[in-house]
Amino acid sequence: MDSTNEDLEGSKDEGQIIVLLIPDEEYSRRILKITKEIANVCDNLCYVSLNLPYAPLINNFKKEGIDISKFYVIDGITQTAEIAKNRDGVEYVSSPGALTELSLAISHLLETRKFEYIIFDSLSTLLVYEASPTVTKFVHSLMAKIRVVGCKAIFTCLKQDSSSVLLKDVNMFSDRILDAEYWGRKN
Amino acid sequence: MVEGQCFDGIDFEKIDEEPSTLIITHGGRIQSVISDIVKYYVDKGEFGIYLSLNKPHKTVESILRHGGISEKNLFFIDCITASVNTIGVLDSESVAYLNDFDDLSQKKKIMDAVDKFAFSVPGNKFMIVDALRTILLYHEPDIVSKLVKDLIYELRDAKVRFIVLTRSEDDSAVIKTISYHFDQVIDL
Repeated sequence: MDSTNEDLEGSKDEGQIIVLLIPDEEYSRRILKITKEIANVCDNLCYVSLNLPYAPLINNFKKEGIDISKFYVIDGITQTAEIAKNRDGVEYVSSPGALTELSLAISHLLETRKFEYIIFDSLSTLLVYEASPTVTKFVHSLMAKIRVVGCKAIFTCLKQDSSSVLLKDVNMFSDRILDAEYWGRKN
Repeated sequence: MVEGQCFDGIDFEKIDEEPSTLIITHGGRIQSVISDIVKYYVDKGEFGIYLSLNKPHKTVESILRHGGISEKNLFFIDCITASVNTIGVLDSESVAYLNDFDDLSQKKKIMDAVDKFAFSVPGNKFMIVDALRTILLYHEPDIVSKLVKDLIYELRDAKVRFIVLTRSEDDSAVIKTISYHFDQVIDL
């Protein structure tokens, strides 16, 4: 079993929701690597992108050799700059701060499709757009929905936000907060 | 585990001594502390009510089972599942679902469950809550304080030991105000 399988197996036993802390200077590289590892062992994934618009996100996936057919993307960025074209496999939300819209989009998706994994990129971006108590309530509700449908999830967060009130609260709702450095290492 | 034993820093004998206890600990430790406390009381043959504010009862059951804890002596009040489930869920013999997480008017439903439970099972009983901090996300401290005070009095009358967990960081002033209602506060 490779390291990713161990992580995924571990998440089955120890919990299904992991918050992953990633240093900002390594963020783009790390999240692509982790996404690729998860996509290698899962077939149906939902990627919530609050950092990159759909087109460059998918380009990055292709460059990394990630099978994009496995992904459904919720894109919270594109519509902040342009009117997005409707495409298969993507749903647009007007802004990363549109938490009600984001919540409805994710809820609808979880009710109508079966995903093995959700990658939420990222909690830190939510904090740029909304105050911490609002974000905490959103994350509390979202993690609950994910548990109720029996899906697994990774929420990414910049390591510099690890001492934020949000992370301290999320620590109660998630199963583990893991430094990306330890991703793939057996604990 | 035997009575009076300390496990992972938890002094069970001290918790036994008082009808109501607030336990303050690191957010990431709340679930493991709860599991240890539930195991302690269930192993003693006591019946318990688990008021779940952080995770659906199915997740909690899975965590308890993983820790070798039987849930057959537990009644769950689940504040999560129905609030995020559009299909709707029905109460069962071992679970009561609250429909709207941030509606404290559902205190009556909590108390109805406690009353039913308190008089329908024999022996000593406990109620455990994860976590006070989560209620504070949705309500002002004075409202939470009143809720806690009411629950403490009603559970004391029903002879149900009341154990509430909360996370330790940041909200010390608020916790101090609310902790006044408890018979004891344990800082883990």
